[in-house]
Amino acid sequence: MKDTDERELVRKALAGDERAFRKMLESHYTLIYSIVRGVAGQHGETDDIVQDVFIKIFRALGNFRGDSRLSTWIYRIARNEALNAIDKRRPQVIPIDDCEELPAAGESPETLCRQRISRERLERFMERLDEKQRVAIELRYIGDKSYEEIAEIMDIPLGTVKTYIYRAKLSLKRMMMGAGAKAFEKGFGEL
Amino acid sequence: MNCNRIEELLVQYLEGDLSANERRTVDAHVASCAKCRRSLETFMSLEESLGTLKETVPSWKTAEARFSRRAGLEKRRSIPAFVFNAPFVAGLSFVALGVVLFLRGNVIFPAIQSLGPRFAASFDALAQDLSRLFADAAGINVTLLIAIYGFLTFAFMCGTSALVFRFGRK
Repeated sequence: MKDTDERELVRKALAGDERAFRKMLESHYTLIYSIVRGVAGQHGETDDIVQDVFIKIFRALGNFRGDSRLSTWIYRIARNEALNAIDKRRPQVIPIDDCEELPAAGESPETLCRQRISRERLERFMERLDEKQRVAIELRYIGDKSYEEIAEIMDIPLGTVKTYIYRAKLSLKRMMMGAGAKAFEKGFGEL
Repeated sequence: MNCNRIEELLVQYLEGDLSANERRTVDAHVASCAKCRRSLETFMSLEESLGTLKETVPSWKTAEARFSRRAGLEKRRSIPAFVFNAPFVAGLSFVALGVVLFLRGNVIFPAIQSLGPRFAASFDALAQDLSRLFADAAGINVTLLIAIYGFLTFAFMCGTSALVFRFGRK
């Protein structure tokens, strides 16, 4: 969305135009979702926090002065809201590995596990990433943002974004390979 | 180039961020190293899984419907007219006055009655009526008085609040 369109939407929303406000939310929906999921992780409460963020934006829009991009302002709100939710949340035990099925004979463990790695497992691995790395990954893959846009939203240098994403991918890949090898060993142990 | 360095380069390799020279080096290494080939496969699988993350996001329509319900409640909650409108405040004042009369009635009613003769001097008929009214009220059973007062206040507040909701500022 162009800067001018964005400003116009905010102006209309501030003037009480509900349609403009909804349009503004819709255009930032995946952004909000990815930030919340990136900060709070996937605990089944993402939708609730996203709703809290909507309400927070609804109440605080009058405070938006336009000094920064709207997406950067929304990032701060969504991050704070997600952090508050984490504070209220009870500690949870996240299973480290659930690659329990035996690998079929004749295929490499990595290939087998790769085939089996579902999105849910990936999400569990992502829980173990550093918060900033996770947010960067979520913004890239859920929010469909370029590295430059992520840098602007998170208000950090472009190089830092690249490092976050690079490190996140490296960690995820190592977790995936580790889980694959574990499943392979487990399978052999039981044979 | 060793395997650790190749592993580091694989992320950029898949994003198309390597120079032609670096790319050739990685290609040559991966072709001859089973470990790095598996690394590359895992990275590719990771990219594939990351690409499916988007599917977990509920549709905007679902989120909007939920927001509409919450925003409706929020709107009601944030109507200043409801809390600060004149009839509501008047209703609250009635309640406050009732509480004061209940707690300090034994002092207030006799004091008001004692004002009767003074009123008579200037507002003869009206003052006498008022004095009689207060004197009667003081004589009524306190529980009954509270019940009548409470009912009237409640009816007044319900009526005025209903009017505000119906015609008040949206």
